[in-house]
Amino acid sequence: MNQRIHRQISALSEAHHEARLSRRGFVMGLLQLGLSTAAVASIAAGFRPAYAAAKSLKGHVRFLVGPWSEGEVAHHKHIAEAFNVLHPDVTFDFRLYQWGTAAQEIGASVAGGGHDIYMTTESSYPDYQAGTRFADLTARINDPAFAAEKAKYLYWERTESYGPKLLGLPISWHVEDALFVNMDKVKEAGHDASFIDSWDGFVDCIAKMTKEGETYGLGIGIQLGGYGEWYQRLRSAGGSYLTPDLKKPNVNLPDVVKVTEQMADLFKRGIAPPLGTYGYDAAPAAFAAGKLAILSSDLAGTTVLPKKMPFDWKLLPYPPGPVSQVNFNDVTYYMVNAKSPDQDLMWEVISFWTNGANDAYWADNSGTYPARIDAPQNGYGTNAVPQLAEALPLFEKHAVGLENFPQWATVEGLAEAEIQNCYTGKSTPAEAVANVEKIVIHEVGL
Amino acid sequence: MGLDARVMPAAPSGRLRLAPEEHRRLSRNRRLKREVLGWAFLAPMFLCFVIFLVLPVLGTVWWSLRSGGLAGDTKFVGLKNFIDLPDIVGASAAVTNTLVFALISVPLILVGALAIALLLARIERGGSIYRFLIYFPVLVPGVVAALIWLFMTNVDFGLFNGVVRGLGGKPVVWLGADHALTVLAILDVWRNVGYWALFFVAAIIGLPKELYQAAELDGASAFARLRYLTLPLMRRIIFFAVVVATIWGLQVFDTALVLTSGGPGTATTTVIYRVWLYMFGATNKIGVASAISLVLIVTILLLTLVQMRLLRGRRGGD
Repeated sequence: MNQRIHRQISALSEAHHEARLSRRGFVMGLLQLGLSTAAVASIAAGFRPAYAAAKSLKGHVRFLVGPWSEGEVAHHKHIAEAFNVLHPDVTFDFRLYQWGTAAQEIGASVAGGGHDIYMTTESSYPDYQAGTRFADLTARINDPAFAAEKAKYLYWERTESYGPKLLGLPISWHVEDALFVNMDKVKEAGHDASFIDSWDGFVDCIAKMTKEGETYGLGIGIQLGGYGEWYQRLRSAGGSYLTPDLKKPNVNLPDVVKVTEQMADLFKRGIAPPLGTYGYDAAPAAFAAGKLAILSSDLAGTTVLPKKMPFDWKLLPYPPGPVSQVNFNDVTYYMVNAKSPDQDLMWEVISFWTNGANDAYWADNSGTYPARIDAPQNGYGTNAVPQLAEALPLFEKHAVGLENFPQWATVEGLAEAEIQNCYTGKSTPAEAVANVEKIVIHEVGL
Repeated sequence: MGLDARVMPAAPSGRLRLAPEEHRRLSRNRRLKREVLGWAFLAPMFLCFVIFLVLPVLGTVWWSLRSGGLAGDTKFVGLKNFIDLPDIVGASAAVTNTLVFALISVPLILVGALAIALLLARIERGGSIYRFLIYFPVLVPGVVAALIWLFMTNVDFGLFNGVVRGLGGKPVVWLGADHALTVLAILDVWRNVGYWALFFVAAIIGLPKELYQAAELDGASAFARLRYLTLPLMRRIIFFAVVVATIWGLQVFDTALVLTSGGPGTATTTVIYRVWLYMFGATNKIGVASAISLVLIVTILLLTLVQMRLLRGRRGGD
């Protein structure tokens, strides 16, 4: 449009210079051009969404993100290139934090103004909700002009349940403990995909798939210290770390001890490899090599498996517990540092980073599910293994998130370690569950 | 007795005779200059000492009396963090693991280092190559060492199980709950034995030769020379090594983090690992982490004092 106006001004000025246009005609022409431009601009502004860039953007944006896949930074650079087509004067810097120290790395950085945009996980959301270090995006997200966009993001109810402020735009939701199942071995064991419908069927299948010295039926306890693994069973047994009113522990229940016993039994029977046999990085290779018939891990494992596996495999959820079926997952967000000087720019950047196309691109390359309903139409599933898309409806059903208290992640880390002590025979399931309850009381300060 | 300028012999022509006050002033200035220069040379080290040791320790004391996070708001809670320490689930496991680790690694390191040192001291040609090879693991950072051992202990293709299979045995889960702490201790021995070996070599080379010649003439066997000459003569340096190696042993962390992440369960969770967990892996627990750190500092201090006391007693009040 700028070029068109420029051409028209040039034509007017040339006509005036060549005496084809009087001074009065030249001035009138410029006036008309100005008026019409102003009119067009005002009409266009009416159609421009309030969240869209109102001006040419300029500045430097510093990201602190989690290492979802080996190509994490490359994926962000790819999105940045697309952003620079629209706004060439914006530059980017991407840094990775480590999962084990994410909370403190983010905390220290946001306090010191070290970065502008943070990839944060849901486990820290309750803590951030209580603070003021992240920008409150409630007004921007709830702006009527953003309503159509907002409707395309998932899990707003869950996000809004943490408190009155909306601090981020969701980017993904992640299943923390899925079963990577070698279906060839399941068939050999005389089962089909329905073996996960009951715990007894599940254990029978695992036992039949176990071949001493060759294959273990199920690899558990290898997911980054067991993150979310036992917790999923706790919830399926009707327990939780705290009661819904967050006033009392809700761990030491007979059904919780029962599911813990069931898990410990897998080790006692030798159908799960002893803890320490496979680490988080080595386990997917063991699954691909057929040494584990089933691997229990988070979905990021899909990014390191070979594209072509020598057997048919599926992603399946855990069997139901004595009380209910539970599929634990957590949401990942982009949040903005409240100290960043150009909040408009940061909003533009995070809304671009989480738009349909970019969310689809990032999730597709990170082995996780996008937090947008329009991601499939925007190319999600073109790079990720097809098993992810196939399992999506299974994981969406009975989806459960974490509980709304700031110490959740601390409790989870300590509790899973305590439960693993019972898997190694150092404590009984009852003792381990009782210890988890003590951890809850101590860490929450009840 | 002061010098009187009036009775002093005349100075050679062209040289200035100084009044006593002037002389005193000049020597005072000279002394001052020397002092300032000395402090200037000391200042960088002193500054580093204050910034990297004194201030963090004072900071730890301050944090230990507060609740909250590293980057968030904190509030004074008095001694609550210390009082609550015994209630922490897994605290006893962390203390036990740390002590067991030190009990395995420290004797192995020192006995191994002494044995290697005795061998190295006898090598006359090519000794520097052997010394370099022995010292090499010391140069490997803890994280890299742990990654190397992660491969060596792999159940399916690791070196250790390769040897076990070669000998006809069943593969061992080296990083399982039963062996992980021992593996960590052996890794520590591998990393540190070279350091102390060189330390001991230097000491052995400095021992008086004439005593050994006399012992040989008296017909003392090699073991007797070791028992009655080498060990008593090296007692001071061995005692020093025991104290320092124990302090280091109680601070094990980096290899536990990389190799086992404190697990399986709490099988390799050490005290420092627990501090790290509260400092960086938990929300708003810096006060607890600081309290544990202070308790560890005091424990190490007391242990060192006890060791020194015992060792001094053996040296006969020396």
